[in-house]
Amino acid sequence: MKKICSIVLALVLVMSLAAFASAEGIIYIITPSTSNPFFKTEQDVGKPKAEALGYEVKCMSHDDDAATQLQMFEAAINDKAVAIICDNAGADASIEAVKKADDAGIPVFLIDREINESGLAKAQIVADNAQGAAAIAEKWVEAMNYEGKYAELLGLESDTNCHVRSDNYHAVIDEYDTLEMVAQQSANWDQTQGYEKTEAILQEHPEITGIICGNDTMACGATQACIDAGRDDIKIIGLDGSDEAAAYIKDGKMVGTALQQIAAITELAIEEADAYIKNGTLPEQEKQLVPCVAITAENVDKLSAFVYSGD
Amino acid sequence: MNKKKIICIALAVVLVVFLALSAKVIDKGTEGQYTGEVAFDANASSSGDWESVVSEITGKAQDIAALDVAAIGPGTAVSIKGTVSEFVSKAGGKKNSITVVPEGYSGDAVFTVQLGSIYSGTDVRDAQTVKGFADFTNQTEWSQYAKALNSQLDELVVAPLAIDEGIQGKTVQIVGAASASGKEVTVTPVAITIE
Repeated sequence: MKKICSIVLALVLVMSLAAFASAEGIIYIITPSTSNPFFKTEQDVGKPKAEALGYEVKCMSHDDDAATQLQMFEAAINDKAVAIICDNAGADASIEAVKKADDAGIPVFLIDREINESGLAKAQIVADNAQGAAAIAEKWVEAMNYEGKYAELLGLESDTNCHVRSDNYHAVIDEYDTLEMVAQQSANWDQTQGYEKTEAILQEHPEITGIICGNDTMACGATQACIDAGRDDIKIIGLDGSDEAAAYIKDGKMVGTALQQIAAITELAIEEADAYIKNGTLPEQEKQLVPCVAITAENVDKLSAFVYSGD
Repeated sequence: MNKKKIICIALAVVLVVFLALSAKVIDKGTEGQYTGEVAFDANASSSGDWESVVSEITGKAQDIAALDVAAIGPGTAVSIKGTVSEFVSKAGGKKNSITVVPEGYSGDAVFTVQLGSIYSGTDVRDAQTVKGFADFTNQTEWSQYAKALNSQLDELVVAPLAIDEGIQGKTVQIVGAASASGKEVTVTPVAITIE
């Protein structure tokens, strides 16, 4: 009898917990593949944040496939989700999915990447790549002592961020006619390509003393290639704020990176979704920029898992 | 192939030919006259704003010596009055600055005022509300606007004063936009008076 009692009690407890968890409704968090720690952070930060506010959370990855993403949005619509938080699968390709959710009355809050249409999502919260690139380029120019020859590794050239970052690196660097770029190649955001291109560039242009990279993945490849070639004099920067880059910065192998505060961006999206669901309050602006933080040896200790723990 | 299909194809061909013949070729660079979208020019965008930007920053500037350093920036409107303790010139004279000790200041922060001709950061842009991110198409234009404001202040405020090491020991009064990193405060000036 006692046993039955405790089982019943346990059941009641579980059921009331379940009821509590979903009291405010279901939030979908849809991101690119979590094999990249950047996107994993979005789910790891977003889920507990939304649960603490009383929502049930369903996390999934579209793997940068717009068709998969659309199915996930349809699932959210069928599920009568109260909000969708999404790091989307393409600025144009995602418009259809966002529109579908909007038509069904489900508010969409976009993080990290924008879409090429305003008025469909309730918010588009992205890292200020232009400011971040300029900020870390300033640090790099100082580290170069304002002179020397250098190379650039570009990201995937079809990606908007590739150009935003490169343009803003050059907006700072090109003001100094004493800094000369002798090689510029795409390594497609990829670590192995970053390594191989750097190896080749070092052979062809051994006179370089700096390498600027469009993201941390390529920067880490470039750094490893410089270490393997015995070139510890080369000043390297990336952009993202990954823990792998942080480790190189701590070791003095990289000058710095610009942290895209993806954890803060995700939390902000959940807070804005919560305010909209509970009070109908819309964010002041749909498009919101969250500043990047320039990370160098001076402040790298405050960076972990894409979170910068203040000054 | 049925009759209906043939008619469809014929119609499509007629349509394509008609479109090709009726299309007007628009010269590159003149698209704006037709679409209303004009290529972005950061300088055009900032030159008309400069006076409003200066008056806004001057109007809300707070005495830097009275501020908590941790609360400064990015883009805090400040005023600073004090003595120039040092003139520093880097990058072959392209990156000049002065260190100013504010009157009556007893804290341990160091106040550096950028004097160009190359300026770092976006503090002036971030201190003003004449234009915001929403007024621009994308991040790149928004960052070009910051740069345009910086070149404007160099041209109109800093360059005409031709400041060199002779400024050391003089009293200055400066209004600008500031940010801080630890105990180092950097001010980008929008008005300078040398006494």
